[in-house]
Amino acid sequence: MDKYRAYVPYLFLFPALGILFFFQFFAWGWNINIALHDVTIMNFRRAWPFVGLENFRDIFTDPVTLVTLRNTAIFATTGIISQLLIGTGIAYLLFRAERGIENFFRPIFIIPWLTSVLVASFGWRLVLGRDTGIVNMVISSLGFEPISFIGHPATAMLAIVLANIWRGTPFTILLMNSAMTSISPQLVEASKIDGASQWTFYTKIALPILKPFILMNTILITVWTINAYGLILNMTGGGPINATRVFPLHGYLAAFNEGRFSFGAGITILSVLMTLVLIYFYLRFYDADVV
Amino acid sequence: MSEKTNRIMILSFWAAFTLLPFYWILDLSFQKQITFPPDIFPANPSLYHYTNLVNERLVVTGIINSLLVSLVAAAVSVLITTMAGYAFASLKFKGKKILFFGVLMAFLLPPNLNIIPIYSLFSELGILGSRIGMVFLYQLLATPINIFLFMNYFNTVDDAIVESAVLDGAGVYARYYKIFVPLAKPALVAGFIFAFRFAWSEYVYATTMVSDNSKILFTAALERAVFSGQYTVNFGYMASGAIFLAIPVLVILLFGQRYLELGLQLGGVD
Amino acid sequence: MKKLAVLALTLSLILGLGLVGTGQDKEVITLKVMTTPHPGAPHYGYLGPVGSGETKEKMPEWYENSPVRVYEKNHPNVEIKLDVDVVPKSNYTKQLYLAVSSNKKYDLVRVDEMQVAQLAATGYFTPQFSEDYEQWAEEKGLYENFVKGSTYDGKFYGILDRTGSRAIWVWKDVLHEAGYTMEDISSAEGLLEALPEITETAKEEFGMSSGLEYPFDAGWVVDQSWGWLYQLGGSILEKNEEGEWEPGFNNEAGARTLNYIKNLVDNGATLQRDWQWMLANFMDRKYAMTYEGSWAVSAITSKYPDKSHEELTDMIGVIPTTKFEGKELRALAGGWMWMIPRAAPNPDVAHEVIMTMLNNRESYAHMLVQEGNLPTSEWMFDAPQYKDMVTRDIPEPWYEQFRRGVAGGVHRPSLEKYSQIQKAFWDATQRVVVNDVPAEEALDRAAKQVREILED
Repeated sequence: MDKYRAYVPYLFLFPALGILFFFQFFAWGWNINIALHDVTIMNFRRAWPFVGLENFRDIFTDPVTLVTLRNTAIFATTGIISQLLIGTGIAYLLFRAERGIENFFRPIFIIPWLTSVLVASFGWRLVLGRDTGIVNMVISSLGFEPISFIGHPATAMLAIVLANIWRGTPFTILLMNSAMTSISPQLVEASKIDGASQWTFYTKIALPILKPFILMNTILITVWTINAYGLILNMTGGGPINATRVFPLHGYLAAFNEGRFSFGAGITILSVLMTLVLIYFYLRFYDADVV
Repeated sequence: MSEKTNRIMILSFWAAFTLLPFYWILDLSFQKQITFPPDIFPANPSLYHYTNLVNERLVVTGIINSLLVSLVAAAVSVLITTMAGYAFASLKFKGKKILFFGVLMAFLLPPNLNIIPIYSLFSELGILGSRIGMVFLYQLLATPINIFLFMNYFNTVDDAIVESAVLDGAGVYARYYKIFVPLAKPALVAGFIFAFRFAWSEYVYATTMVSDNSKILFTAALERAVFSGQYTVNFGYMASGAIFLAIPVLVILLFGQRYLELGLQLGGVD
Repeated sequence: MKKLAVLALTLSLILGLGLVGTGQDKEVITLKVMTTPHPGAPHYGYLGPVGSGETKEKMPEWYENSPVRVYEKNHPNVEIKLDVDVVPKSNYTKQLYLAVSSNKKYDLVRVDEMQVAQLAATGYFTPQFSEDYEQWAEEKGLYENFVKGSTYDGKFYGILDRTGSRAIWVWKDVLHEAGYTMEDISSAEGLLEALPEITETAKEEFGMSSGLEYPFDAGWVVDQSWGWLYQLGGSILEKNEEGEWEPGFNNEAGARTLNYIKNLVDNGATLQRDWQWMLANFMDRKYAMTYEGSWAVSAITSKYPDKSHEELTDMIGVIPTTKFEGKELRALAGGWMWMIPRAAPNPDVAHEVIMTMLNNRESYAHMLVQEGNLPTSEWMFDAPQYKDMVTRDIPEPWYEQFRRGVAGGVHRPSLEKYSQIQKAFWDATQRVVVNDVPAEEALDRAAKQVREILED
């Protein structure tokens, strides 16, 4: 018989959950507070006037906002789809490969995800750089002028998408690979014995098992691709001329480069809402399929 | 071509894509004069950029500060998340489901989005720019994953061991530090690695919240060193700095791969 | 035993105190400074030497005359150490805001004149310089636009110690080959007319990318346009009958300004979206002409160290930005200044060091020349030390051009919301030049935005 006071578990939980909930939930409450007031660098350390939803009105009437939403749509769609397709594909190949091959490639594939966004940013800036890049070496050897990828709107978007895919795909590879390995070999054997075709196996047996993993993977990748702006901040700073300014970056720059904190706070709130809406649709889609 | 050859070709292609930036960084970091077109393999390898980088006082301060902050943050993280994981795995209490859901939610919300309120809160508390503040802040990054990690690991501990300990009179605290924690050594390492890695490589908070020369963190110091030229970007620093930044990761991969795998298994796929 | 120990302790205490008491220990004051990079410079701004001894080696004359050293000479019991945070320009505003938000204890902070009003309004800085500066401005003939541009709410928050002048640099060989002279392109109309042929000549015969590169990178490029706006009779903001500010660019002057940029592009100019490369491009002979500034001189002289001044002026020409025919030359004048935060631990020391710098012609001139900056007062332009040193490095004709540019300056309005006003005009510029929106429409919209900004 194990007796302990009822409050003991809470003691164990308190440090971790206390810090976590403070930095997440309390911070979010504070964020909403900031978004409902007028907080700029001018009055940051003084009193904040209450302005209700005016910041949101400012966000929607700012012409740059539309541009950032469009940028986010492009960046997120290409990024998410690429990561999912490539990641699952590679995961599948790893799954089918022999042990030795798998153990050789796996650690290599993880590396980008483990390193800092700075490594990704610096690495791709050097690879794509006009004066330093191997890509431009190829381009100029073909007789064209070297391109400054970061310097032109269209190619800058390409650069950040590429760097993001490079950095994010490992997660999908890992997740889907371990999902696939969770399909027990007996099941595979059994279905072969039953005479099921490969196609049937994949759609009727494997897919349902993998579904929850695919769902979770999609949700996480969506959340991270839409909301992670560190890589873009360092690689292009949102430029040139807002060509790579994605929505959450718009908020960060408004707050820290322009001193408009409540504007930025409002944007982060909208960004999370957008993500939640997307997740809701994913869940609907998922549920519908299960039926 | 056989399926197997195809497979290896594709995997190799992706591996090459993965390693390309690293190779390129490494290549450039050893070339004293980085002019277009750079050598594919350094003709006259030189440590010029490395020695210059570590001669920048700011960079050295940054490395030391980041090491300090990351190690302390990792230690703190392991301590508090083993406690929480223990509670979730082994103790009974009201509201378990809700609290767990809370952790899950906290995991889903990207921490980068909280920078504005945290900046404000730290300013109000007067700890904006302090390293202790960063140690606490960085708990935000690894806590959810580490809680999952330890919770799952502790769940694998044989009930029989626990029961016999209870019979021997071990109280709730004793069970924690005499049984669960010692048994979890590999997970401890994994959790430490995760937390360390998050803190070491973090960029957005580091560059926004700390600017004092003496307290600056490595990612921010490196950024400054690279972009300090009036007209030019210091590509040499970019390359050598990126290598320095990536070293802990490479060390982990070389020596700690099994811990990493364990951690990913228990923490990521839950 | 115990007594012996006590005796020994007391004796050593007395001795120790005695040493401390009679010691000639200097008081060490550390000035915490935040500034932008000075590439390769063995000094911290104009303030003082870098601790490593490099300064003494590379700039021996200045070393003993640097403001910090002079201060130390005037206060023999004090030693000053400089603790400098060098922040890249790309990160500068963010770090400035961080300093303001956390009430950082800096003694001195470099600030772009463009942001003075906004930063002064936060309350983080003090108008420490007001009295001295007024006197200094009057005595030394600080150009009026610098006076107006660096005050906020009627007080001087900082000292504008250096500036630059926008200028068009030209490769003369391309110009002459196309059949034009410097005279021909010194007016807006002339430049526009000559541009197509210069561009063609540049491309065909010199293998260049284009005839002219024009900066189109971010909001600050409207600085060019502000100058033209004023030339043509418009303004950024003007006071109406009720004494309130309202936009002064929604008129013919504004339309002509924006259309001029569009015409440049239509006639062959390239919009340079990456300002970092502009100078390098010009030096690499990728463009026949470039809109750059007086600060390009050091790049030119360091690329051609062996050429005489005459050879340089034969090779490269400079015009102090575009002048519309018949109008007085006006260019936007800005610069950087030192400001002192309220939280400064040593405000008086900081203040004195800055005033020392400004009043010591010898070292001030030396730094200006060293860094390729222009002075902000007639007193300095006229200073024999400055003129002699400058014309050692720069051909005299160029020097005269820059002086004209600085003298004919206009200033930005000293308002907290300036950056938003700038942004509205920048949006209008982009609409007209890139999206083919008629100038009147774009200006109407910008004026509306500015009115809303001013109302808030």
